[in-house]
Amino acid sequence: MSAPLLVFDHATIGRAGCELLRDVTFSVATGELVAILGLNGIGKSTLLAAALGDEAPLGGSVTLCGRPPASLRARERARLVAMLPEAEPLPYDVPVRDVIELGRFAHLGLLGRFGPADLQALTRAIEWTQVGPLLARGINELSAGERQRVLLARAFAQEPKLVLLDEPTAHLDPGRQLQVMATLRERVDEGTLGVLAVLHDPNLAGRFADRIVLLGAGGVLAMGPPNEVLRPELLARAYDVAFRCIADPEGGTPYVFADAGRR
Amino acid sequence: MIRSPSRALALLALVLLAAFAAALLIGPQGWPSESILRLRLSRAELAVIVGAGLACTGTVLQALSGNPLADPFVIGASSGAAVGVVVARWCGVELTSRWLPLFTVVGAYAAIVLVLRIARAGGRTPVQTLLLAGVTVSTLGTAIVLLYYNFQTGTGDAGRTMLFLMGNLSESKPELIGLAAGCVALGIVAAGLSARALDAFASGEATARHLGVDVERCKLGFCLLSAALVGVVVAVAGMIGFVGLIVPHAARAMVGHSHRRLIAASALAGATFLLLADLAARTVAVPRELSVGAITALCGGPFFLLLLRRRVRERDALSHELDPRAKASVVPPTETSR
Repeated sequence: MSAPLLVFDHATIGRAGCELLRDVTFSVATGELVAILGLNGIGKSTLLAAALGDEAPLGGSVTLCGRPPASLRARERARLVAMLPEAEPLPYDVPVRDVIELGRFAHLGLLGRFGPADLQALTRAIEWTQVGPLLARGINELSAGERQRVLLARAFAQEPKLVLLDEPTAHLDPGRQLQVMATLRERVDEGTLGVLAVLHDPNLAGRFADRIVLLGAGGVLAMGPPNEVLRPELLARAYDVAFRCIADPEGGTPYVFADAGRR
Repeated sequence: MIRSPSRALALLALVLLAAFAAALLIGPQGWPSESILRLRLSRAELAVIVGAGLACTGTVLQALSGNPLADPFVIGASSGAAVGVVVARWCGVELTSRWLPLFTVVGAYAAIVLVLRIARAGGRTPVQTLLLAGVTVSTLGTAIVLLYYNFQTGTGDAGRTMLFLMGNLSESKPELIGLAAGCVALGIVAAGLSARALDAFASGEATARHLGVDVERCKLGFCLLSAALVGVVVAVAGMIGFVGLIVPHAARAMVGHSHRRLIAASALAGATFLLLADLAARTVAVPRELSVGAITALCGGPFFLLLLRRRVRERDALSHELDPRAKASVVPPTETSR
């Protein structure tokens, strides 16, 4: 593992001056996929906003490749970090190819002409996400799963060192969820990318993440490899509902689920 | 029908030339004499400048707000510029003065910034708030113009006010036309050079920022650019509505969403559209001359309603697909919720 890309150092995170999370300390390095779990509204998205420099930390520090993200120029920052939003429809029904080409914005010169390096990055991104057959279609005609793959291709075309994802698998059916996460995992295992993903499914995090940051009210509740964090007593505290856990007979991460009967 | 966008652009240029020729040659009096030809020439030039300027501004505003219903008239920029004219008259500036555009540009800029700021919610500019804010600012501006001229009654200004409010290409202002042409040409080139940033903005402001666009600087630039174009256009031709709304949509259908081509196509198609609208205004009801703004509004109004209806339906369908609460609301209310 190499030098960390993103470091939260005793950071206090909030939105518009209102404190949400205190004393957040963790890092994401190249070749690592870190998942964030926690209740809705607890500050997961704000954590990503802090990583992007859209929200300044209220205390402590957040650094992206050694610098506060807000101090980076927009183009510089976009070459370091890509953000994958939820698969919402776009304002215009733009062809998929144009959407992916936008990923190169931060790499293009004044006239916006594509060079060989840009075309290569596009080809690779399209290949990795297998969106080749969709290129001529409109982005809003696609299903949510296809749209998310296209946005992932745009993020890869950006050639970032770090990818941030905000509930990348919301609204996707199970097969598509696995597909998106597996595509990310492949790039991470290549050792060229770090990923920080806000997820809503603990088991998806358990299966794909190297480390999980579990958020509770006001701060980090637990942090570590999946089998240390996905424990019923910790999850019960984080999600305010009883959890049960089943061991994977094949030796993988245990499967956890909320137990509706108990609190 | 048209395979390549560059061919579509060439076609648009040819159609513009044909429309220009038609605007020179067609009229109530058979073959035109030299003096009539000169008159028509200056009027056709004006139509080209105004049409291209308005359509280009519409394209920029539609990208900037991520909202396909934006248009300089709809969002109140034109009436902001019209208030600028009133202020200019109040300060004793003549309608043909070279200083007039200064006032109209400032007025348009104030209106654009005001409307975009009011309408913004969570990094997006939703259709409803943009239209409401735009209509309000627009009505306010028109009211100020009307009030001003109410106090000017008896000076023969009432008719000119109506001409101004509906837009009008018949008053030639040779002092201003060179300035307007320069501004519009520069504006189109500037918009074309920042086409990639417009592409990024069209996918939402937050996305644009994450893709590496310096959002605040670009917004300032695009607002200034729009204000400059609308300002000079209103200074020479009054308030002509809906050109900036219809034309970008037609252009998008022809050359696609990439703003590099879209800006060029909008400028060409906007000029053509206004030439033809003015031709209709001159010839349909001879010997009367119709207001060109009325013609563009007659074409644009129904088109706008159609777009709005489609937009609302799309949103309905999408919110049902994405939001489980929207689905739940279809279920009849239970005892407890009553």
